[in-house]
Amino acid sequence: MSDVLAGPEGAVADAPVSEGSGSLILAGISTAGIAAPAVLLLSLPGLVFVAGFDHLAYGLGLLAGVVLAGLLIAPRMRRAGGATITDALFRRFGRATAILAAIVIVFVVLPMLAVEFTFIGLLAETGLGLPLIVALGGAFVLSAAGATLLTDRAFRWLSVLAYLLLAASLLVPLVLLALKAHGLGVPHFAVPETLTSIATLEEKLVENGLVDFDTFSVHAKPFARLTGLDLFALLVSVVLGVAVLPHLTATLAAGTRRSAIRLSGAWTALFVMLLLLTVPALAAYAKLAIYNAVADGTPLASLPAWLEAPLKAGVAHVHGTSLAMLDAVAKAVGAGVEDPSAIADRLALHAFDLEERWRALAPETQEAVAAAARAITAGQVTAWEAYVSTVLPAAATAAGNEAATLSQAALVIEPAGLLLALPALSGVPGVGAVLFIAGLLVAAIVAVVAQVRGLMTIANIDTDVSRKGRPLLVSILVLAVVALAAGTAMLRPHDLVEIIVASLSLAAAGLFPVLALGLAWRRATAAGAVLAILVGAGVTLYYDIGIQVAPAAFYRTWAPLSNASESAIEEFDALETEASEGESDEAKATALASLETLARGTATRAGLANWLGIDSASGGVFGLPLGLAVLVLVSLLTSRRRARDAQP
Amino acid sequence: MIEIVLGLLLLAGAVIVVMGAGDTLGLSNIDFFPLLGYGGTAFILALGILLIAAGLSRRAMKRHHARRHTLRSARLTTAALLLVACLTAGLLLASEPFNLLRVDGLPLGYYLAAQGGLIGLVILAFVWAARQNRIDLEGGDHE
Repeated sequence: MSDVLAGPEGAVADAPVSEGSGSLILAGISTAGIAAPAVLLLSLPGLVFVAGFDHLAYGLGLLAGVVLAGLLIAPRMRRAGGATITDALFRRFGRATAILAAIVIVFVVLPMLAVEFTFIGLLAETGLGLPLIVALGGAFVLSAAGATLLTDRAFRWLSVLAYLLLAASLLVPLVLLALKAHGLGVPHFAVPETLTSIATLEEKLVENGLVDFDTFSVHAKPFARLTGLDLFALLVSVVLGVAVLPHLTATLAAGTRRSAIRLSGAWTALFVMLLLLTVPALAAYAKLAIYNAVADGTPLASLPAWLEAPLKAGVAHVHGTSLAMLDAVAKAVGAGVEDPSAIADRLALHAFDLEERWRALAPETQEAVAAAARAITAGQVTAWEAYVSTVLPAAATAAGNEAATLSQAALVIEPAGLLLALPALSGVPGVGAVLFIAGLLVAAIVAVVAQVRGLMTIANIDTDVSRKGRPLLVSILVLAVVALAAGTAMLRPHDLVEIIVASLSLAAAGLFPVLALGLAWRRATAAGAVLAILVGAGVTLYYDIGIQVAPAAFYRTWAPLSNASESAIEEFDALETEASEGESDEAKATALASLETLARGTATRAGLANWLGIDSASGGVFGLPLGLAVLVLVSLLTSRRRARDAQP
Repeated sequence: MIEIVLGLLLLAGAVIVVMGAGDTLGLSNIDFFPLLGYGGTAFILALGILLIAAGLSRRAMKRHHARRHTLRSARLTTAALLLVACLTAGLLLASEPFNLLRVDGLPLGYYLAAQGGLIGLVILAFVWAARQNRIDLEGGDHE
C-alpha cells in the first residue's frame, strides 16, 4: 500500500510495486478526489438542472477523459520514460517540444486556477461571510503551502479526504431531497418517477404561461439547448482535455509499472463514476422541488428562503436582479453615488457581469434598487426585506409579471447557484449548511493544490527521480502564476464553466496529438511535434480570443463559415452602415458597441462570429484535427528526408 | 480473410445504396437510401472499413511475428477508442432512436446518457486494462 501512496520517491526501482487490489483501490480513490477541476465537478448538478439531457455530456465526457488519461496517456508517458507530460516529451522529442508543451500547460492551468479561486471566493464570501480578499489570500497561502510543503504521501491522503467530502456534498442533499419527494429508498433508482413528475410539471408550467422559451428546455429532450454539432465539439474538448490534464496524468503515471498504472486508472474511473452517478438524480430532485414551488404560484413577496444564498452570491437572478447587486448598489449609494450610469461604473469595479445586468434593467427597476439601497444604508431594513418588498415588485412590473409570482421566466439559476441553494432546499439546518460549505471549500482547495503541484513538476525534465531537487526559481515562478490567478479572481469573472471548457479545449488541441499519437508512433519527429503543438494550440487560442476580443472583425474575416441567419446578417450590415455614417459621434459609438455585441452573442442569443456555429470555448474541435494532421504530415516529410540524408 | 471479404461486400453494399439500389441491380422501385439515410449508410461504410482493417491486421500478425505485440496493442487501442467514442458521442448524438423505448417510464436514450454510458465506460476501462496487460505479458514486454 505504501508504495502506491508514496509515488516515485518511495518506490525503489528494483523492488516490485505492490499490485494488490487494496493499494490500487486506495490510489483510485485519491486520484478520483483530484481528477477533475472542483468547479466543473460541483457545477454538474446545476448544469444538468439548467439544460437537462444536453448537459449530461459534461459528466460523460469527464469520465471518458479520466479513462483515456489512465489507459492511454499515462502508460504512454511512462513508456517514454517520463512521469510528467514535459518529461515524457523531452525524452522522446527533445527540449524544444518540452518547453513549448510547458508554455501550453501554463496557458491551460492559469485560467483554471483563476476559476477555482473565484469559486473558493464565492463559497467563502457567501457561506462563511469572509471578505473576498481574506478568502483569496487564505486560499493562496494554503495552496502554496500545500504545494511546497506536503510530501506526496501526505497529499495522497488529503486527496482521499477530498474525495469523501465531494461524495458527501453530493450524496447528502440527494438523499434528503429524495426523502422529501418519495420517502425512504435508494434515490438513484427513484429517478424515473421523478422525471415523470418533472414532465407533468413542465406541461403545467407551459400551459400556465410561466416559462420563458429562451431559457426553458424540456428536461429529458435531446438537443433542446445545444445542436448536435455543439454537443460534439463540447465532448471533444472535455474528453480529450481531461485526458491530458497535467496533474491527473502525472498522478497516474507516478506508478512504476505500466500494468499497475492501467489498473489504477480503471479504479480511478470507477470512483469518479460513483460521484457522477449522483449528478442526474440530484439535478432531477432539485428541479422537482423548484418547479413545485413555481407551479404552486409562489408569490415573490414570500420568496423561498433557499434562494437567499445564491442571490447573495449573485449566481441566481430574479427578473435580472440579485441581492449581490443590491449589496453593491448600497455600497455605491453609501459612498454618495446616485446617478444610474455612475452606479454602473462603480459596479464594474465590483464585478463585470453586475454592470451588464444593471444596465439591462428598466429605469424604474434601477430607481427601486437605489431606493432599497438607501433604506439599507440608513439601517431601516435588512437587505432581504428591502429586496423582497421594494426591488422585486418593481422588477416584476417592469418585466410584465403582473401577478408577481415566482415563474420559470423570472428565475435564473446558474450552476454554482444551484449548489449554494442545495443545503436550504434539502432542509439542512444552519450548522449543516456551514459544514456543507466548509467541506466544499476543503475539496476545492485540495483540487487547487493538485493543479499547483502538477505545475511545479513541469520543469522536471532530464533528471531521474528529480522531485527532491526542484530549483527554487521554478517554485517562485509557479507561485507567481498562482498569485496571478488569485488576483484575477478578485475581479469575479463569471461563466466559470465556459472558462474551464476553453482551457480543456486548448489542452485537447495542443497536447493530445503529441501525447496520444506522437509518443506511440515510431516515425513521429521533433519537427512534427513542435509544429503540431503550435498549430493545434494556436488555432484554438485564435478562435477563442478572436471571438471574445474582436468579434466583428472575426465575423468579417470568416463570414462564409459563419452560421448566421439572414436576418442577423441584415442587422449586422445595418449597424455597420450606422457605425460609419451615423449622424453623431455618439450614435456611431453606440452602433459600434451593438455591432460587437451582436457578433459576439449574448447569453440568450448566439453571435455571428463563429465557424459552423461552434461555441468560442470549444475551438479545440478545429485545433485538434489540424494538430494531428500537421504531426503526421511534417513527421512523414522530415523522417523521409532524414532517412535519405543518412544514406551515403 | 473472411473479414476482408465481408468488409468489401459491405463497402460495395454502401456504394450500391448511395447509387440507388433499384437501378444498379435491375430491380425497379426499390431504393434503400431513404430507409437508411446518411447516418445508416455511413455506418455500413465504417463497418466495412473496420472489418477490412481487422482482416489486414490479422494477416500482418501471422506474417510478421516480430511485430505481433505492436499490432495486437494497436488493434486493442483502436477498438477501445472506438468504444469510448460510441459511449460518449454515439450515445448522446443517437439518443433519439433509443428514446423510442421506455424502461420503467424513463426514455432509454436519457437513461443511457445519465447512467448506462458511465457504467459502460468503467467496464470498458477494466477490460481494456486487463487485455493490454495480458498482451504485454504474452509479448514478453515485462517493463
